[in-house]
Amino acid sequence: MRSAPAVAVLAVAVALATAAGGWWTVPLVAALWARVTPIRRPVVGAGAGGALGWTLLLGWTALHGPVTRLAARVAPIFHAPAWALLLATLLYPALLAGAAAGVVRPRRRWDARAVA
Amino acid sequence: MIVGARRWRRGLAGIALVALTAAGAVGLGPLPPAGPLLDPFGGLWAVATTAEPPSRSRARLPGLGAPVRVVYDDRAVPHIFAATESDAYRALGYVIARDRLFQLDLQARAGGGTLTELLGPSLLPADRDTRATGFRRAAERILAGMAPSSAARQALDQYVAGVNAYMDGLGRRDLPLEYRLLGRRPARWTAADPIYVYLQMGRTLAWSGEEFTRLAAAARAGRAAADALFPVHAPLQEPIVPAPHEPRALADTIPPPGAPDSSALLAAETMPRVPSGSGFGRAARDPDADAPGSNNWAVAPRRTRNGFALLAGDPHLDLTLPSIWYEAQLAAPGLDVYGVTIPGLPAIIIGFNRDVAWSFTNTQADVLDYWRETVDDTLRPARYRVDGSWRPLETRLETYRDPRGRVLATDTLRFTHRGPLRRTAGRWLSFRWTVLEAGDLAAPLQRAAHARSAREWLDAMAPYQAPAQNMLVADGRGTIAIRSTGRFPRRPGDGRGDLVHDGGSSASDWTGAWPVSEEPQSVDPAQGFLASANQEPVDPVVNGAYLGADWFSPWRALRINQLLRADSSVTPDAMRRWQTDVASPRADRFAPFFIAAARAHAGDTLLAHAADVLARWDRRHTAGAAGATLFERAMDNMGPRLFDELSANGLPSAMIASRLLDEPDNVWWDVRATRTVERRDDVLAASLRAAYHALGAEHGAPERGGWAWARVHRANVPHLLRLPSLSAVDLPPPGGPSTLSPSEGAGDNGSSWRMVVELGPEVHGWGTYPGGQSGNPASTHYADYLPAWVAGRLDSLRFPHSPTQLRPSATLLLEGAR
Repeated sequence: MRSAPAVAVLAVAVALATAAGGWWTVPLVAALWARVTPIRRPVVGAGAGGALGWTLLLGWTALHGPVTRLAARVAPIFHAPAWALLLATLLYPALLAGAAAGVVRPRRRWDARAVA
Repeated sequence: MIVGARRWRRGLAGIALVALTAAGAVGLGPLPPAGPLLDPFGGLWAVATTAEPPSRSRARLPGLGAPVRVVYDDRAVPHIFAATESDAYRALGYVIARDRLFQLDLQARAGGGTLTELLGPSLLPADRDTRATGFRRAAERILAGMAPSSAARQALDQYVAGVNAYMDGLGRRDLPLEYRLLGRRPARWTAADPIYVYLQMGRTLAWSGEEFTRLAAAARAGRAAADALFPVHAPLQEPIVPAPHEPRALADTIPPPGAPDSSALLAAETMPRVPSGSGFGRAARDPDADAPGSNNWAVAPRRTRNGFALLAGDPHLDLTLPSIWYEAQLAAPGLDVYGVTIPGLPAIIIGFNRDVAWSFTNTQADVLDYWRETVDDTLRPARYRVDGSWRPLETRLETYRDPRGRVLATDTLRFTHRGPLRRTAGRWLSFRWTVLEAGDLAAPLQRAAHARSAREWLDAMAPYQAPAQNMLVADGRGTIAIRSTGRFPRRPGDGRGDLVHDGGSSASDWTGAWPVSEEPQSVDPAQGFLASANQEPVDPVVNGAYLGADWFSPWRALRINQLLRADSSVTPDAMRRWQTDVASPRADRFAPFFIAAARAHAGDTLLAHAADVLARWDRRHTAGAAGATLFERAMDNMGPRLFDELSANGLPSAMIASRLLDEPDNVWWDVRATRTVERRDDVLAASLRAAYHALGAEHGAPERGGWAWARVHRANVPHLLRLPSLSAVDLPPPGGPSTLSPSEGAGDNGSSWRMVVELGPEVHGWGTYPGGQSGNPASTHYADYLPAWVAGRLDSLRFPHSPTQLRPSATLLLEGAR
């Protein structure tokens, strides 16, 4: 499977799962995705998919409320600029998804022949 | 080799996954769990989606008799149109929970002593103070005293049901920001929670300890001096109930410092700690602080330009975001009222209906007395002695829990027939406080909201008990009236409550309460206006009965009355301007003496400069006034110098210092630490010199602009959790100490609600408060009133007869469960 469509699929899955079940679904979805999706760099792909999934959700939220105003008010509580809070929101699912993908053994590994 | 590297990478990924999941689930140190916080759909960011109410929404509110229509105006004020009064109160609970849920929770927890369950063990001292003050027991008793079928209890239950209905429907995306930061959820309300909010208000307004201030002074300077420095009657009289020949100064003399009183010292050491550990209570009051103070005044039609009665009110309280106040209109058959309510209390506290307007100031009455008790065991008493026999102590066990429900501590509380018993400095003191014994605060207000005249309103408020308030009312027929209303204890003997009583005798117990007819009051006075500003209500020449001993200096009262006397054609706009008046009668009294003292020291160039700065000042706390800054700093310096015989924590008020200004050789002016004998001008000059020197060091030369009042003193409106980014800080000050629009200290206290009402054929109100209707920091209505408050403007308050008279910014239809 080509990487970009696979990452897009993961992003949509992460977004839907987060909306339905919460943040903890991110590693589950990423692990499942990494297990069944044959792409060359699943960890990177999962990280990208996780970040993209939450970007979609954040974008949807921004359409319904003043996300930047909220960031400006809340980020200083953590002694951080507003952009850092936004960045953390995208980085966290990326790390979660990437780590989850790194744990699972892909069903079909692109590098299997190299090992053999 | 490759397989090994892969295993190694997988192991690292596993460790990372565990760490990230742990950070997501339980948080790191003070940080909340990252997962639910950062979740862009249901976490922190969802707060943005609830910033503004949807333009049209419907919600279920089980228990409603009929649908309730809530129309929000352009200021986000809900206008609640209901078929019955009980439906209106149920809807009020719902809409306040929607806008101010965290505040509701926090205030109730502060009054119920359960802050640790929300904020953690650091709040344990505050909770212990609250419970030892008897709040939980009092709430149980107040509730038990309300008949289940009474209108008051039903309104309470309706309100609580409204709050809980909102919480029951609370989705993952609706949780207020503060809960997300804390990683907590709100707890469902019980009928006790509004009572806790009320008790918390009682603590803010009616907790006093003048007994111990006087004892501390007696311990250092003798009882005669202490009685004169902390007098029962205000030495400067501009009372609430008008009397001829006022303002005037009482002619009492202040005796010189006497020998320390060792028995007073012993008694003063038993001073109970004021429950202030949380920051939600109040510390012992600075005698010259104007907080929590308030103003209200009313003008009869014959002294107004439009020929209608006018009423103004501005309670001065701690400023917070969100504000202590929440505006609302309640409309139901027989009820149509607009004003501000305190989130958690099912009533409009200050406001107006179609015929009557009202506002309050705190009476400052002494409604709290202490008794020294003899107990059978100094550590774990079970009995106390009264009239020669032992009586059993009532006990109750209080348990404190952390947010996870784990027990943090337990306390055994004890109560005499008078009230809570507390051990301080090895001695046992009980106290009796009307706040703990009052009925429901909201019930009289609910009845008064129906009043058609000032007289009806006063009659409805007659059962009101605590915290005692100077209740000002005006009506459309032109009547203006004021009454200091509350339960004022009758005491045996000379009736004084400013001394610690002997608990061994029941003869020292309260014997009853003042009848309403004896409460200080005035209806339609000949002068055509009425005003109160926390000053002594009645001139002691007219009625010398002991009502209290903790009167505010009457500087604000002097100024209001000065303005009212000078204007016989008052307009609503004049009332508005006076609410933000920054002239200082206190400076009018003291500044000339500072200037004269400085000029008496010829050749002292620094003092000459200081005198020039003060002389150029118009004695108004305007933004650019360098003189205001110098004057306030000099006043701060003068107190400890003048009263160096006393503890710096218990200095007399500026009223006493004002008396001493006329006695330049009084021995109180002498500074004991020096070998020379100082006189008045020496102390004033030294205070002014120190002020000038310090300000120069801090802000440069005065002509460079650094001394401007608004540069040195700022107003601040902190968030309830004191989070700076959710606070409004560093605002221009609305005034200065003791001006009608006060600002002092940390600048976080002042006019918490300003209202002007004209009672014409169609009542018209104007108002604002430092904040906004929404408790959501992302909302445009979080602090949108602040610019008007800072500028001294008032918004026109919309008071429609029906929902169709309003252009809504949002509507909410509340329907009962099918």
